[in-house]
Amino acid sequence: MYHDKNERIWHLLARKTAKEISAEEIKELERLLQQYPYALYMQELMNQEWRDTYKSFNTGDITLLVEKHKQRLHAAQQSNEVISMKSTAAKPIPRILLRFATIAASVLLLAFAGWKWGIGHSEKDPAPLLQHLATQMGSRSEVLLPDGTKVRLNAGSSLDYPKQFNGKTREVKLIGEAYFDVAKDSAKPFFVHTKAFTIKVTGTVFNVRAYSDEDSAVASLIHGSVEVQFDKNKDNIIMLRPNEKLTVAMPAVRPDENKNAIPENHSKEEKIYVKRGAITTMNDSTIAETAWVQNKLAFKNISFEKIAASLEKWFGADIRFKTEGKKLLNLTGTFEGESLEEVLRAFQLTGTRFRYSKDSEGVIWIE
Amino acid sequence: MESFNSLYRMLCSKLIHFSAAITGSFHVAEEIVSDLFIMLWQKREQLSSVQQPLVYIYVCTRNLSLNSLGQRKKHIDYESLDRDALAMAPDVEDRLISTEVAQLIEKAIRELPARCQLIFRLVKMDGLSYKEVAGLLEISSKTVDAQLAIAIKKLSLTIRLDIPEELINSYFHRE
Repeated sequence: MYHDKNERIWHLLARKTAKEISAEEIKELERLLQQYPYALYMQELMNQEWRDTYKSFNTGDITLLVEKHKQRLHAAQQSNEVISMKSTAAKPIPRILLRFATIAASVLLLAFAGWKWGIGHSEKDPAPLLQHLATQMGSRSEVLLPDGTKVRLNAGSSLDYPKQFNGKTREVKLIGEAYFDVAKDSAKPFFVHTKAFTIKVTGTVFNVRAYSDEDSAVASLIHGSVEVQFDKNKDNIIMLRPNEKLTVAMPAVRPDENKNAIPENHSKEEKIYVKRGAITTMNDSTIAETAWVQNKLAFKNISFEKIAASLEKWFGADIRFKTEGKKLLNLTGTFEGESLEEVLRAFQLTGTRFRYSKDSEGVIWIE
Repeated sequence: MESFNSLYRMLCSKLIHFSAAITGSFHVAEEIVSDLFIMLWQKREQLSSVQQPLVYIYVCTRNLSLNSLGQRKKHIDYESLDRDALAMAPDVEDRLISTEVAQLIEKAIRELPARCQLIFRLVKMDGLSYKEVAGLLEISSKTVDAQLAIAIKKLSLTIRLDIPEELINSYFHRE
Protein backbone atom coordinates (compact mmCIF):
# COMPACT_ATOMS: atom_id res chain seq x y z
CA MET A 1 0.00 0.00 0.00
CA TYR A 2 2.78 2.39 0.97
CA HIS A 3 4.60 1.46 -2.18
CA ASP A 4 1.58 2.05 -4.39
CA LYS A 5 0.88 5.45 -2.94
CA ASN A 6 4.49 6.36 -3.40
CA GLU A 7 4.43 5.39 -7.06
CA ARG A 8 1.24 7.34 -7.54
CA ILE A 9 2.82 10.55 -6.30
CA TRP A 10 5.45 10.51 -9.08
CA HIS A 11 2.84 10.18 -11.76
CA LEU A 12 0.88 13.03 -10.28
CA LEU A 13 4.00 15.19 -10.01
CA ALA A 14 4.90 14.33 -13.59
CA ARG A 15 1.45 15.40 -14.77
CA LYS A 16 1.64 18.59 -12.74
CA THR A 17 5.03 19.41 -14.29
CA ALA A 18 3.67 18.85 -17.78
CA LYS A 19 0.47 20.77 -16.91
CA GLU A 20 -1.49 17.65 -17.78
CA ILE A 21 -3.08 17.26 -14.37
CA SER A 22 -6.81 17.30 -13.64
CA ALA A 23 -8.45 19.21 -10.79
CA GLU A 24 -9.20 15.97 -9.02
CA GLU A 25 -5.61 14.79 -9.32
CA ILE A 26 -4.36 18.07 -7.87
CA LYS A 27 -6.36 17.42 -4.69
CA GLU A 28 -5.01 13.91 -4.53
CA LEU A 29 -1.45 15.18 -4.98
CA GLU A 30 -1.85 17.75 -2.21
CA ARG A 31 -2.96 15.04 0.20
CA LEU A 32 -0.01 12.83 -0.71
CA LEU A 33 2.54 15.65 -0.53
CA GLN A 34 1.81 16.21 3.15
CA GLN A 35 3.29 12.79 3.87
CA TYR A 36 6.47 13.27 1.87
CA PRO A 37 8.38 16.50 2.51
CA TYR A 38 11.08 15.72 -0.05
CA ALA A 39 8.38 15.28 -2.70
CA LEU A 40 7.05 18.69 -1.71
CA TYR A 41 10.55 20.08 -2.21
CA MET A 42 10.68 18.33 -5.59
CA GLN A 43 7.41 19.96 -6.55
CA GLU A 44 8.87 23.38 -5.75
CA LEU A 45 11.90 22.61 -7.89
CA MET A 46 9.69 21.57 -10.77
CA ASN A 47 7.72 24.79 -10.41
CA GLN A 48 10.72 27.02 -10.82
CA GLU A 49 12.76 27.96 -13.88
CA TRP A 50 15.46 25.58 -15.07
CA ARG A 51 18.45 26.42 -17.17
CA ASP A 52 20.89 24.74 -19.54
CA THR A 53 24.05 23.85 -17.70
CA TYR A 54 26.36 22.91 -20.56
CA LYS A 55 25.79 25.72 -22.99
CA SER A 56 23.39 28.38 -21.92
CA PHE A 57 22.37 31.20 -24.27
CA ASN A 58 21.82 34.58 -22.64
CA THR A 59 19.85 37.41 -24.21
CA GLY A 60 22.97 38.71 -25.94
CA ASP A 61 23.75 35.31 -27.44
CA ILE A 62 20.17 35.01 -28.68
CA THR A 63 20.31 38.46 -30.26
CA LEU A 64 23.51 37.44 -32.03
CA LEU A 65 21.90 34.20 -33.24
CA VAL A 66 18.90 36.14 -34.53
CA GLU A 67 21.17 38.58 -36.38
CA LYS A 68 23.13 35.74 -37.97
CA HIS A 69 19.90 34.04 -38.95
CA LYS A 70 18.50 37.23 -40.48
CA GLN A 71 21.59 37.55 -42.63
CA ARG A 72 21.33 33.97 -43.84
CA LEU A 73 17.63 34.44 -44.52
CA HIS A 74 18.37 37.61 -46.44
CA ALA A 75 20.99 35.85 -48.54
CA ALA A 76 18.54 33.02 -49.24
CA GLN A 77 15.87 35.49 -50.28
CA GLN A 78 18.14 37.24 -52.75
CA SER A 79 18.27 34.02 -54.72
CA ASN A 80 14.59 33.31 -54.25
CA GLU A 81 12.74 36.51 -54.99
CA VAL A 82 9.87 34.83 -56.83
CA ILE A 83 8.20 33.77 -53.62
CA SER A 84 7.38 37.22 -52.35
CA MET A 85 6.09 38.46 -55.72
CA LYS A 86 3.12 36.12 -56.10
CA SER A 87 0.28 38.23 -54.79
CA THR A 88 -0.58 41.90 -54.93
CA ALA A 89 -2.90 41.93 -51.93
CA ALA A 90 -0.86 44.03 -49.56
CA LYS A 91 -2.39 44.91 -46.25
CA PRO A 92 -0.55 46.11 -43.19
CA ILE A 93 -0.23 43.36 -40.64
CA PRO A 94 -2.17 43.88 -37.41
CA ARG A 95 0.12 45.05 -34.65
CA ILE A 96 -1.11 42.33 -32.32
CA LEU A 97 0.23 39.58 -34.53
CA LEU A 98 3.69 40.99 -34.21
CA ARG A 99 3.48 41.13 -30.47
CA PHE A 100 2.62 37.52 -29.70
CA ALA A 101 4.30 36.23 -26.63
CA THR A 102 3.61 32.60 -26.02
CA ILE A 103 4.51 29.39 -27.72
CA ALA A 104 0.81 28.74 -27.96
CA ALA A 105 0.64 31.24 -30.80
CA SER A 106 0.32 28.91 -33.70
CA VAL A 107 2.71 28.87 -36.60
CA LEU A 108 -0.32 29.05 -38.77
CA LEU A 109 -1.17 32.54 -37.64
CA LEU A 110 2.45 33.56 -37.71
CA ALA A 111 2.94 32.19 -41.16
CA PHE A 112 -0.06 34.16 -42.34
CA ALA A 113 1.19 37.32 -40.67
CA GLY A 114 4.70 36.84 -42.03
CA TRP A 115 3.35 36.16 -45.47
CA LYS A 116 1.36 39.35 -45.57
CA TRP A 117 4.24 41.36 -44.24
CA GLY A 118 6.57 39.89 -46.81
CA ILE A 119 4.37 40.99 -49.66
CA GLY A 120 3.80 44.44 -48.25
CA HIS A 121 7.51 44.83 -47.89
CA SER A 122 8.46 43.71 -51.37
CA GLU A 123 6.23 46.33 -52.93
CA LYS A 124 7.63 49.12 -50.84
CA ASP A 125 10.64 51.20 -51.62
CA PRO A 126 13.72 49.07 -50.89
CA ALA A 127 15.42 51.97 -49.07
CA PRO A 128 17.65 50.83 -46.19
CA LEU A 129 15.60 50.51 -43.03
CA LEU A 130 17.25 51.99 -40.00
CA GLN A 131 17.74 49.64 -37.08
CA HIS A 132 17.86 51.03 -33.59
CA LEU A 133 19.54 49.21 -30.73
CA ALA A 134 19.39 50.73 -27.26
CA THR A 135 20.52 49.53 -23.86
CA GLN A 136 19.00 50.42 -20.51
CA MET A 137 21.06 51.67 -17.61
CA GLY A 138 22.68 48.67 -15.94
CA SER A 139 22.65 46.40 -19.00
CA ARG A 140 24.85 45.82 -22.02
CA SER A 141 24.24 44.30 -25.42
CA GLU A 142 25.98 42.95 -28.48
CA VAL A 143 25.08 43.13 -32.15
CA LEU A 144 26.48 41.81 -35.39
CA LEU A 145 26.08 44.40 -38.16
CA PRO A 146 25.17 43.27 -41.69
CA ASP A 147 28.82 43.60 -42.81
CA GLY A 148 30.11 41.32 -40.04
CA THR A 149 31.27 44.15 -37.77
CA LYS A 150 30.84 43.27 -34.09
CA VAL A 151 29.59 45.96 -31.74
CA ARG A 152 29.34 45.75 -27.96
CA LEU A 153 27.05 48.42 -26.60
CA ASN A 154 27.60 49.62 -23.04
CA ALA A 155 24.82 50.63 -20.63
CA GLY A 156 22.58 53.57 -21.44
CA SER A 157 23.69 53.77 -25.07
CA SER A 158 22.11 53.56 -28.48
CA LEU A 159 23.26 52.66 -31.96
CA ASP A 160 21.51 53.41 -35.26
CA TYR A 161 22.54 51.38 -38.28
CA PRO A 162 20.96 50.46 -41.61
CA LYS A 163 19.52 47.02 -42.27
CA GLN A 164 21.88 46.81 -45.22
CA PHE A 165 25.03 48.81 -45.97
CA ASN A 166 24.22 49.96 -49.51
CA GLY A 167 26.33 52.61 -51.18
CA LYS A 168 29.98 53.40 -50.86
CA THR A 169 30.26 53.80 -47.10
CA ARG A 170 29.14 52.07 -43.93
CA GLU A 171 27.73 54.62 -41.49
CA VAL A 172 26.36 54.25 -37.97
CA LYS A 173 25.35 56.72 -35.28
CA LEU A 174 26.31 56.27 -31.65
CA ILE A 175 25.14 57.89 -28.44
CA GLY A 176 26.95 56.53 -25.39
CA GLU A 177 29.72 53.96 -25.38
CA ALA A 178 30.52 51.09 -27.74
CA TYR A 179 33.38 48.79 -28.64
CA PHE A 180 33.75 48.19 -32.37
CA ASP A 181 35.46 45.31 -34.10
CA VAL A 182 35.06 46.50 -37.67
CA ALA A 183 35.07 43.96 -40.49
CA LYS A 184 37.77 44.83 -43.01
CA ASP A 185 36.56 46.35 -46.27
CA SER A 186 38.90 49.00 -47.58
CA ALA A 187 36.54 49.83 -50.44
CA LYS A 188 33.79 50.76 -47.98
CA PRO A 189 35.04 52.90 -45.11
CA PHE A 190 33.18 52.60 -41.82
CA PHE A 191 32.02 55.82 -40.10
CA VAL A 192 30.90 56.21 -36.51
CA HIS A 193 29.10 59.50 -35.97
CA THR A 194 28.93 60.90 -32.45
CA LYS A 195 27.93 64.32 -31.26
CA ALA A 196 31.59 65.24 -30.69
CA PHE A 197 33.32 63.77 -33.72
CA THR A 198 33.17 61.28 -36.53
CA ILE A 199 35.52 58.32 -36.73
CA LYS A 200 36.54 56.85 -40.05
CA VAL A 201 38.11 53.39 -40.31
CA THR A 202 38.42 50.53 -42.75
CA GLY A 203 38.97 47.57 -40.45
CA THR A 204 40.07 47.88 -36.85
CA VAL A 205 39.21 47.54 -33.15
CA PHE A 206 38.40 50.60 -31.11
CA ASN A 207 36.25 51.96 -28.29
CA VAL A 208 34.17 55.12 -28.35
CA ARG A 209 32.68 56.84 -25.34
CA ALA A 210 30.40 59.74 -26.14
CA TYR A 211 27.56 60.01 -23.63
CA SER A 212 25.43 63.09 -24.01
CA ASP A 213 25.49 63.79 -20.26
CA GLU A 214 29.29 63.80 -20.04
CA ASP A 215 31.52 66.75 -20.78
CA SER A 216 34.02 64.91 -22.93
CA ALA A 217 34.13 62.16 -25.54
CA VAL A 218 36.93 59.64 -25.91
CA ALA A 219 38.05 57.46 -28.81
CA SER A 220 40.53 54.70 -27.86
CA LEU A 221 42.29 52.60 -30.47
CA ILE A 222 43.21 48.98 -29.73
CA HIS A 223 44.64 48.02 -33.09
CA GLY A 224 44.50 49.11 -36.72
CA SER A 225 44.20 52.81 -37.40
CA VAL A 226 41.46 55.38 -37.15
CA GLU A 227 40.89 58.85 -38.39
CA VAL A 228 39.01 61.27 -36.15
CA GLN A 229 37.15 64.01 -37.97
CA PHE A 230 35.38 67.05 -36.62
CA ASP A 231 32.13 68.04 -38.20
CA LYS A 232 33.07 71.68 -38.34
CA ASN A 233 36.05 71.11 -40.54
CA LYS A 234 36.45 67.93 -42.50
CA ASP A 235 40.02 68.81 -43.54
CA ASN A 236 41.18 68.85 -39.97
CA ILE A 237 41.64 65.24 -39.01
CA ILE A 238 43.65 63.45 -36.38
CA MET A 239 45.08 59.98 -36.99
CA LEU A 240 45.43 57.70 -33.97
CA ARG A 241 47.98 54.94 -33.53
CA PRO A 242 47.27 51.73 -31.60
CA ASN A 243 47.12 52.19 -27.81
CA GLU A 244 46.38 55.87 -28.19
CA LYS A 245 43.28 57.73 -27.23
CA LEU A 246 41.82 61.07 -28.07
CA THR A 247 39.79 63.01 -25.54
CA VAL A 248 37.58 65.74 -26.90
CA ALA A 249 35.90 68.23 -24.65
CA MET A 250 32.42 69.06 -25.81
CA PRO A 251 32.22 72.54 -27.33
CA ALA A 252 32.19 75.28 -24.68
CA VAL A 253 33.38 72.92 -21.96
CA ARG A 254 37.10 72.64 -21.27
CA PRO A 255 38.68 69.37 -20.20
CA ASP A 256 39.54 68.96 -16.53
CA GLU A 257 43.24 68.75 -17.04
CA ASN A 258 44.00 70.98 -19.98
CA LYS A 259 47.70 71.44 -19.47
CA ASN A 260 48.45 69.43 -22.58
CA ALA A 261 45.31 70.37 -24.38
CA ILE A 262 45.79 71.89 -27.79
CA PRO A 263 43.13 74.39 -28.71
CA GLU A 264 42.30 73.70 -32.32
CA ASN A 265 40.81 76.48 -34.34
CA HIS A 266 38.06 75.02 -36.41
CA SER A 267 36.16 78.19 -36.90
CA LYS A 268 36.25 81.64 -35.50
CA GLU A 269 33.26 81.28 -33.23
CA GLU A 270 33.97 77.83 -31.81
CA LYS A 271 36.99 76.17 -30.25
CA ILE A 272 37.26 72.45 -29.66
CA TYR A 273 39.70 71.18 -27.09
CA VAL A 274 41.31 67.88 -27.81
CA LYS A 275 43.93 65.92 -25.92
CA ARG A 276 45.90 63.06 -27.29
CA GLY A 277 47.36 60.49 -24.89
CA ALA A 278 48.10 56.86 -24.20
CA ILE A 279 45.35 54.47 -23.21
CA THR A 280 45.34 53.55 -19.52
CA THR A 281 46.77 50.20 -18.53
CA MET A 282 46.05 48.83 -15.06
CA ASN A 283 48.49 46.78 -12.95
CA ASP A 284 47.01 43.51 -14.21
CA SER A 285 47.37 44.81 -17.81
CA THR A 286 43.64 45.38 -18.14
CA ILE A 287 43.00 48.33 -20.42
CA ALA A 288 40.80 50.73 -18.46
CA GLU A 289 39.02 52.15 -21.52
CA THR A 290 37.82 48.75 -22.73
CA ALA A 291 37.56 46.85 -19.42
CA TRP A 292 33.76 47.02 -19.64
CA VAL A 293 33.84 44.74 -22.68
CA GLN A 294 35.13 41.98 -20.35
CA ASN A 295 32.46 42.93 -17.80
CA LYS A 296 35.02 44.74 -15.68
CA LEU A 297 35.20 48.23 -14.33
CA ALA A 298 38.66 49.82 -14.17
CA PHE A 299 39.60 53.29 -12.97
CA LYS A 300 43.08 54.75 -12.66
CA ASN A 301 43.34 58.12 -10.95
CA ILE A 302 39.89 59.17 -12.04
CA SER A 303 37.83 61.76 -10.21
CA PHE A 304 35.05 60.44 -7.99
CA GLU A 305 32.61 62.53 -9.99
CA LYS A 306 33.45 60.70 -13.23
CA ILE A 307 33.52 57.33 -11.48
CA ALA A 308 30.08 57.99 -10.03
CA ALA A 309 28.79 58.76 -13.54
CA SER A 310 30.20 55.40 -14.75
CA LEU A 311 28.79 53.50 -11.77
CA GLU A 312 25.37 55.05 -12.33
CA LYS A 313 25.25 53.71 -15.86
CA TRP A 314 26.82 50.37 -14.99
CA PHE A 315 24.49 49.56 -12.10
CA GLY A 316 21.51 51.63 -13.17
CA ALA A 317 21.83 53.63 -9.92
CA ASP A 318 21.39 57.24 -8.90
CA ILE A 319 24.46 58.62 -7.11
CA ARG A 320 24.66 62.18 -5.78
CA PHE A 321 27.14 64.16 -3.76
CA LYS A 322 26.24 65.94 -0.52
CA THR A 323 29.79 67.22 -0.15
CA GLU A 324 30.98 68.85 -3.38
CA GLY A 325 34.64 68.42 -2.40
CA LYS A 326 34.36 64.63 -2.59
CA LYS A 327 33.80 64.90 -6.34
CA LEU A 328 37.43 65.82 -6.77
CA LEU A 329 38.92 62.76 -5.01
CA ASN A 330 41.00 60.71 -7.41
CA LEU A 331 40.43 56.95 -7.15
CA THR A 332 41.92 53.76 -8.60
CA GLY A 333 40.48 50.24 -8.72
CA THR A 334 39.47 47.28 -10.89
CA PHE A 335 36.21 45.43 -10.29
CA GLU A 336 34.58 42.36 -11.73
CA GLY A 337 31.27 41.02 -10.50
CA GLU A 338 31.15 43.23 -7.42
CA SER A 339 27.94 44.94 -6.38
CA LEU A 340 27.73 48.73 -6.21
CA GLU A 341 28.03 48.62 -2.41
CA GLU A 342 31.08 46.38 -2.64
CA VAL A 343 32.73 48.82 -5.01
CA LEU A 344 32.08 51.75 -2.69
CA ARG A 345 33.28 49.77 0.31
CA ALA A 346 36.47 48.82 -1.55
CA PHE A 347 37.19 52.49 -2.21
CA GLN A 348 36.72 53.19 1.49
CA LEU A 349 39.02 50.33 2.42
CA THR A 350 41.78 51.67 0.21
CA GLY A 351 41.86 54.77 2.37
CA THR A 352 39.56 57.16 0.59
CA ARG A 353 37.63 59.12 3.20
CA PHE A 354 33.95 59.38 2.41
CA ARG A 355 30.65 57.99 3.61
CA TYR A 356 27.69 56.80 1.61
CA SER A 357 24.06 56.17 2.46
CA LYS A 358 20.95 55.16 0.59
CA ASP A 359 17.76 57.14 1.06
CA SER A 360 14.19 55.84 0.85
CA GLU A 361 14.07 56.54 -2.89
CA GLY A 362 17.17 54.48 -3.55
CA VAL A 363 19.44 57.48 -4.21
CA ILE A 364 23.00 56.93 -2.98
CA TRP A 365 24.46 59.98 -1.27
CA ILE A 366 28.20 60.52 -0.96
CA GLU A 367 29.53 62.77 1.81
CA MET B 1 8.97 38.18 -41.70
CA GLU B 2 9.22 39.85 -38.31
CA SER B 3 6.87 37.20 -36.94
CA PHE B 4 9.14 34.49 -38.22
CA ASN B 5 12.16 36.16 -36.71
CA SER B 6 10.34 36.45 -33.39
CA LEU B 7 9.44 32.79 -33.58
CA TYR B 8 13.07 32.00 -34.29
CA ARG B 9 14.15 34.12 -31.31
CA MET B 10 11.69 32.26 -29.10
CA LEU B 11 12.59 28.75 -30.16
CA CYS B 12 16.22 28.88 -31.29
CA SER B 13 17.84 28.00 -27.97
CA LYS B 14 15.53 25.01 -27.45
CA LEU B 15 15.83 23.72 -31.01
CA ILE B 16 19.60 24.19 -31.13
CA HIS B 17 19.99 22.16 -27.94
CA PHE B 18 17.71 19.46 -29.33
CA SER B 19 19.62 19.35 -32.61
CA ALA B 20 23.00 19.45 -30.86
CA ALA B 21 21.98 16.43 -28.79
CA ILE B 22 21.52 14.50 -32.04
CA THR B 23 24.39 15.93 -34.09
CA GLY B 24 26.85 16.34 -31.22
CA SER B 25 27.76 19.84 -32.42
CA PHE B 26 26.30 23.21 -31.45
CA HIS B 27 27.85 24.71 -34.55
CA VAL B 28 26.06 22.29 -36.87
CA ALA B 29 22.87 22.62 -34.81
CA GLU B 30 22.88 26.40 -35.20
CA GLU B 31 23.04 26.07 -39.00
CA ILE B 32 20.37 23.40 -39.08
CA VAL B 33 17.90 25.50 -37.10
CA SER B 34 18.63 28.57 -39.19
CA ASP B 35 18.16 26.52 -42.39
CA LEU B 36 14.90 25.19 -41.02
CA PHE B 37 13.50 28.68 -40.44
CA ILE B 38 14.57 29.76 -43.91
CA MET B 39 12.71 26.75 -45.26
CA LEU B 40 9.63 27.54 -43.14
CA TRP B 41 9.68 31.10 -44.46
CA GLN B 42 9.89 29.91 -48.03
CA LYS B 43 7.11 27.38 -47.58
CA ARG B 44 4.93 29.64 -45.46
CA GLU B 45 1.94 29.44 -47.78
CA GLN B 46 1.75 25.67 -47.48
CA LEU B 47 2.02 25.70 -43.71
CA SER B 48 -1.64 26.41 -43.10
CA SER B 49 -2.40 22.71 -43.37
CA VAL B 50 0.03 21.78 -40.59
CA GLN B 51 -1.89 20.26 -37.69
CA GLN B 52 0.58 20.52 -34.82
CA PRO B 53 2.94 23.37 -35.73
CA LEU B 54 5.30 22.90 -32.81
CA VAL B 55 5.61 19.16 -33.41
CA TYR B 56 6.16 19.89 -37.10
CA ILE B 57 9.07 22.22 -36.28
CA TYR B 58 10.63 19.71 -33.91
CA VAL B 59 10.18 16.83 -36.37
CA CYS B 60 11.85 18.92 -39.09
CA THR B 61 14.71 19.72 -36.71
CA ARG B 62 15.06 16.03 -35.88
CA ASN B 63 15.06 14.97 -39.53
CA LEU B 64 17.51 17.65 -40.64
CA SER B 65 19.78 16.70 -37.73
CA LEU B 66 19.65 13.01 -38.61
CA ASN B 67 20.26 13.86 -42.27
CA SER B 68 23.36 15.82 -41.35
CA LEU B 69 24.76 12.65 -39.84
CA GLY B 70 24.32 10.94 -43.19
CA GLN B 71 21.63 8.70 -41.75
CA ARG B 72 18.59 7.74 -43.71
CA LYS B 73 16.53 6.48 -40.82
CA LYS B 74 14.10 8.75 -39.12
CA HIS B 75 14.53 7.51 -35.59
CA ILE B 76 16.77 9.01 -32.97
CA ASP B 77 19.45 6.66 -31.72
CA TYR B 78 19.08 7.36 -28.02
CA GLU B 79 22.32 5.68 -27.08
CA SER B 80 24.37 8.12 -29.17
CA LEU B 81 22.64 11.27 -27.89
CA ASP B 82 25.04 13.92 -26.63
CA ARG B 83 24.16 14.13 -22.94
CA ASP B 84 25.92 17.46 -22.51
CA ALA B 85 23.53 19.23 -24.85
CA LEU B 86 20.61 17.92 -22.79
CA ALA B 87 22.12 18.82 -19.41
CA MET B 88 19.96 21.05 -17.26
CA ALA B 89 19.37 22.01 -13.63
CA PRO B 90 17.13 24.29 -11.58
CA ASP B 91 18.27 27.87 -11.89
CA VAL B 92 20.24 28.69 -8.74
CA GLU B 93 19.57 32.35 -9.33
CA ASP B 94 16.05 31.71 -8.16
CA ARG B 95 17.71 31.19 -4.78
CA LEU B 96 15.40 28.36 -3.81
CA ILE B 97 18.35 26.00 -3.91
CA SER B 98 22.09 26.02 -3.43
CA THR B 99 24.64 25.36 -6.17
CA GLU B 100 25.40 22.07 -4.46
CA VAL B 101 21.82 20.85 -4.78
CA ALA B 102 21.63 22.00 -8.40
CA GLN B 103 24.77 19.98 -9.17
CA LEU B 104 23.38 16.87 -7.52
CA ILE B 105 20.22 17.16 -9.56
CA GLU B 106 22.14 17.73 -12.78
CA LYS B 107 24.21 14.62 -12.07
CA ALA B 108 21.11 12.55 -11.33
CA ILE B 109 19.56 13.66 -14.64
CA ARG B 110 22.66 12.60 -16.55
CA GLU B 111 22.32 9.16 -14.98
CA LEU B 112 18.79 8.68 -16.32
CA PRO B 113 18.39 6.51 -19.42
CA ALA B 114 18.96 8.75 -22.46
CA ARG B 115 15.40 8.57 -23.75
CA CYS B 116 14.06 9.35 -20.29
CA GLN B 117 16.37 12.38 -20.04
CA LEU B 118 15.25 13.64 -23.44
CA ILE B 119 11.57 13.28 -22.53
CA PHE B 120 12.11 15.07 -19.24
CA ARG B 121 13.88 17.90 -21.03
CA LEU B 122 11.26 18.26 -23.75
CA VAL B 123 8.54 18.62 -21.12
CA LYS B 124 10.31 20.75 -18.52
CA MET B 125 12.64 22.88 -20.62
CA ASP B 126 10.89 23.06 -23.97
CA GLY B 127 7.38 23.10 -22.51
CA LEU B 128 5.99 20.46 -24.87
CA SER B 129 2.76 18.68 -23.94
CA TYR B 130 2.49 14.90 -23.59
CA LYS B 131 0.82 14.76 -26.97
CA GLU B 132 3.55 16.81 -28.61
CA VAL B 133 6.38 14.74 -27.15
CA ALA B 134 4.49 11.59 -28.16
CA GLY B 135 4.10 12.89 -31.72
CA LEU B 136 7.75 13.84 -31.99
CA LEU B 137 9.22 10.64 -30.58
CA GLU B 138 6.53 8.40 -32.09
CA ILE B 139 5.54 6.86 -28.79
CA SER B 140 2.25 6.93 -26.88
CA SER B 141 1.27 9.70 -24.45
CA LYS B 142 1.10 6.97 -21.82
CA THR B 143 4.79 6.20 -22.32
CA VAL B 144 5.65 9.89 -21.99
CA ASP B 145 3.72 10.01 -18.71
CA ALA B 146 5.46 6.87 -17.44
CA GLN B 147 8.95 8.05 -18.44
CA LEU B 148 8.45 11.46 -16.88
CA ALA B 149 7.27 9.80 -13.64
CA ILE B 150 10.45 7.67 -13.66
CA ALA B 151 12.60 10.77 -14.06
CA ILE B 152 10.82 12.62 -11.28
CA LYS B 153 10.98 9.63 -8.96
CA LYS B 154 14.71 9.27 -9.54
CA LEU B 155 15.35 12.95 -8.85
CA SER B 156 13.20 12.91 -5.72
CA LEU B 157 15.11 9.95 -4.39
CA THR B 158 18.37 11.80 -5.03
CA ILE B 159 16.98 14.65 -3.01
CA ARG B 160 15.93 12.33 -0.21
CA LEU B 161 19.18 10.38 -0.07
CA ASP B 162 21.83 12.92 -0.92
CA ILE B 163 20.52 16.17 0.39
CA PRO B 164 20.52 16.73 4.15
CA GLU B 165 17.13 17.20 5.69
CA GLU B 166 18.13 20.50 7.28
CA LEU B 167 18.72 21.91 3.83
CA ILE B 168 15.23 21.00 2.75
CA ASN B 169 13.68 22.14 6.00
CA SER B 170 15.54 25.42 5.87
CA TYR B 171 13.89 26.07 2.54
CA PHE B 172 10.41 25.58 3.95
CA HIS B 173 11.05 27.79 6.93
CA ARG B 174 12.52 30.62 4.91
CA GLU B 175 9.66 32.55 3.35
